[in-house]
Amino acid sequence: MPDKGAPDWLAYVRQNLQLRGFRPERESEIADEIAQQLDEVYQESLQAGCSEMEARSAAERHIADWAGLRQQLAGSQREKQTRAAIALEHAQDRDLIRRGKFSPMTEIRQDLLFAFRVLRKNPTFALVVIAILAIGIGANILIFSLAYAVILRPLPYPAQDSLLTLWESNLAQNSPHGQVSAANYYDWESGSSVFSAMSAYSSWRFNLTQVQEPENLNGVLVTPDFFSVLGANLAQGRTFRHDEDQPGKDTVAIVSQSLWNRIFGESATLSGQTLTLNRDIYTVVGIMPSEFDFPSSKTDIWVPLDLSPENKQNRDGRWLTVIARVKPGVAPKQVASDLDLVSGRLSKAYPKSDGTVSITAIPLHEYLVGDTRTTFVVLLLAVGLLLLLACANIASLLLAKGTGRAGEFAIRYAIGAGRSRIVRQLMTECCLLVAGGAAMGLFLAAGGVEWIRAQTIEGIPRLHDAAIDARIVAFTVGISMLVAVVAGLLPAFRASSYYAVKEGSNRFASNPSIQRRRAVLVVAQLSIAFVLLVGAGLLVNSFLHLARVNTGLQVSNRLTFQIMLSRAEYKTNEQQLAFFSQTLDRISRQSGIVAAGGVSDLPLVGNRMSIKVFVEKSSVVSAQSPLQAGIRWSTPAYFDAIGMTLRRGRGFAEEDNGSSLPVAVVNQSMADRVWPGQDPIGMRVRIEEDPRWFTVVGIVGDIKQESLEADEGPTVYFTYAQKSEVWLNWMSVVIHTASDPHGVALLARQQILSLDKDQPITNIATLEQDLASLQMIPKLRTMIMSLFSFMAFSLAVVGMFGMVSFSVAQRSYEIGIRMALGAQRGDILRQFLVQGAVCVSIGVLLGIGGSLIVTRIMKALLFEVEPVDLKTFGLVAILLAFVTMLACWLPAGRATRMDVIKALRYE
Amino acid sequence: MFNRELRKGSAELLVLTFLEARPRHGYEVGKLIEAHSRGRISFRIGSLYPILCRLEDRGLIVGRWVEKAGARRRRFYRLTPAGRKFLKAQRGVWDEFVATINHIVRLSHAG
Repeated sequence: MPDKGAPDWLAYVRQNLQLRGFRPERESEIADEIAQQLDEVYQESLQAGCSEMEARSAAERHIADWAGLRQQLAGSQREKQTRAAIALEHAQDRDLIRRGKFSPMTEIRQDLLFAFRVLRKNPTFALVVIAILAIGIGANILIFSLAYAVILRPLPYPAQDSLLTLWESNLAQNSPHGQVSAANYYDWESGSSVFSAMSAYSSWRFNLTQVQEPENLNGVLVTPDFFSVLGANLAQGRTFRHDEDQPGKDTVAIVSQSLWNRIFGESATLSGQTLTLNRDIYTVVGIMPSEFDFPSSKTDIWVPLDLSPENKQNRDGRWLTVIARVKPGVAPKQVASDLDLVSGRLSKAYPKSDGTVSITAIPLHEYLVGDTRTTFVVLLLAVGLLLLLACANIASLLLAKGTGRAGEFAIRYAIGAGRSRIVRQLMTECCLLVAGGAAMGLFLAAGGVEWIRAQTIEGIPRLHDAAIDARIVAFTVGISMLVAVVAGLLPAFRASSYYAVKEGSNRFASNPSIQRRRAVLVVAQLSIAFVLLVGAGLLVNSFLHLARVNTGLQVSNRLTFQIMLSRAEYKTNEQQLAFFSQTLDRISRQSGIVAAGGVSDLPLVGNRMSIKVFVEKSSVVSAQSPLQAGIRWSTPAYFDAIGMTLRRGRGFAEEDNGSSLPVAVVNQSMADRVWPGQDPIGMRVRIEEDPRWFTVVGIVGDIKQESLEADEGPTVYFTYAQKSEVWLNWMSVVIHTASDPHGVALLARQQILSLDKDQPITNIATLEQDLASLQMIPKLRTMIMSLFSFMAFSLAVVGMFGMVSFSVAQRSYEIGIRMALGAQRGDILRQFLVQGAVCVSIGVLLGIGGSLIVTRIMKALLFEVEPVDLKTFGLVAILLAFVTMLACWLPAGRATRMDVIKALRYE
Repeated sequence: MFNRELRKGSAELLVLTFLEARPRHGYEVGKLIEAHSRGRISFRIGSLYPILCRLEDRGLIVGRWVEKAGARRRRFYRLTPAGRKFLKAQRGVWDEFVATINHIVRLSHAG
């Protein structure tokens, strides 16, 4: 008990010491002992004649640095606990050896238990590392599972490497992969010797009627060998017979599983089922399994391609896609030379149509996924770099953490553990962290895959098949093992080395070798972050250019849909025109409708008809040599409805009909290409198959048809009222509304049903939606890359911050000495900023080098942006340098504000 | 005052030496060190107490509370058998270290 009037030393000690993590009785014991010693000093000073205040000061001076004392006691406590744990471990080992139950599995189990204990004591560190790993590994799992589903997974057909697509290649007409004419297909089939089977197909739409809700189906016209070329088996029923492509025998159909379930129900029997397609009755003879998705996952129905003998001889209409299976044992060179022979024979026999035509073969897998390959390669590269950066970041953290455990390793060495045992222990801890990160990453990736599958992303085939399956889990395990080695091995070897243990025992000496290694890792992170930022910057720049592309039309407040009339019901041009005309008339009379027009091929959705067009009085195109140009039919109100610019002359009028002068409107590209420097108004054009000459009455601006990147090319417009093509039984309607167009679809449907109760409408969308679809893949790609680059940037900046903070902490004694010897705060700040600047400079230089290589791969993905865009490189360098130097300046500033006495008093 | 590193390296040896003869409490050990070094080596409570804790945690000394009538209770420390063994070994190391340094220092001074 303190004397009456004497200070309460126990309360004084408790107030200042504030130990954490000690048992209450031990804490009490420590406080009691220190208080007792302070009291001894106090009493001794009083006895020596000091005043009470002097005596109290003398005692208090014995402990000026409470924080330092607290740290030393805590360190001592930790060492004691570690020693006890290791001793217990060895006692257990000896017990197991004595009982004959020691095995390699025992050591592994012990390593795991110890690793759990270590990580449990450092929950913040463990969670940070697991979070970084979850992001890095999760991103890799997500992109790999998408890439596997789209480009890596083999096609579900036997011997897929022998499946080819064949194309007409006409480089003189700038058409490297053109569709095939019927006559050419039959000649290829009979004339080549390297294929075991060949088939042709074309997309077609069918109106399904005599059902509760008439609908328009995605169909495919196919030659009888179609399914056997692919080697695809039906779920039920049979494939087409060879005679079923003859008129009269061709009213059979094979349906998709989803169409079957929708119309007949899953449990219905196949026998005797029929469908009314385009007013004809088709017998359903087979059902494809749900996983069959050729040529598209949206295909509802396959129907025999029935061509009359005349159509089979048509070489000018190019509308078929051809697939073929190579005979076993035939090499690609043999295929190429065989196709050259065939095309050579046809060029000589038919110089007018096939004079400059050759045959190109593309593997079917390449045809299906080729367009998306570059995107996935770039994304896989990006996530690989992100993971590498994460590994560097974690290695840096583990290196720093390792220095704090030198005491523990010293004990292990003293007790007799070899270096390999310590390395194994550290690697076990690293593997546990990686396992945690991988599990969380797998969970995040699974969520990502489900989200992507729920989106409607056009233009990426087989994306809906992406899933986290056994292959993806195996990939996860593999990549996790790689990460554990890359991130954990260096720190494990470094921390366990004898010299590191010796150096690390002196907590307050700086560790130059550790600093150098961390600096290397920070430089690596900065250079990777630079590459990813440049990649994202280029894609963002490219996307901004794409978004600013002038589509040549107005997209707001425009609703579109398609009508396809049944040829059986609307046999003549007059019947078709009457229906279209009445439809547009009824719609345009409704309130809230500004204009309503129709066109054969809607802009922004990709379809384009092209044909040979003859022109007159051109200074550059000979009258005898037609040029390949796009053609469209439209109605008089179409240009207004879709907001196209009429540059010169006039559009189509109601007076332009079957008995008036045939007229045409050309686009600006056509005018510039065919009549440069001349006035196209009054010139005449003619298309193959139609003997009439059409007089050009107007010029409209170019629009974007197949993509935002490609130019439209020369195009000629004709009016529906003057069409002679009975096969043109469809129209895409464009309605310009005064306000939100979404509500107009129902109104339009009602008007059409009032004219024909069995006439469905399809592909209802606004032009804004169509434009968004075209932009979707570049937008998604840009967003994903931007996300990865942001993560990389954050990790790299945090890595730099961590390195400088660690350096400041390690060198606090040295800083104190320097400041005590007269160094200014500016000198201290400069020291750390120079260290950071060197790292940033090297990181940026390496990043520039890496970017020069990586961005070349991205060239195909960029629009109006060069892979080496100086502005992007410059902005990224400035951003990275500025933010990273800020991350240096913050901890360096803390160093300059350090209490010199406190820094020197560390013992 | 001797260099901090020299003090630090010899602190444990000094504490163990003064506990060899008989058990003492912590403050007494500090006073003895100061007295025997004629004031050239002194340890404050904040420095000496952690040394005592460390030596106790390593099992080289053991502490015991002793309460005498009319006085504050004090914690007395004594050497353990492991501590005696350690002290004997450290004495040998220290003697060898001092002899080696002396030899070099005298040699270079002579040379």
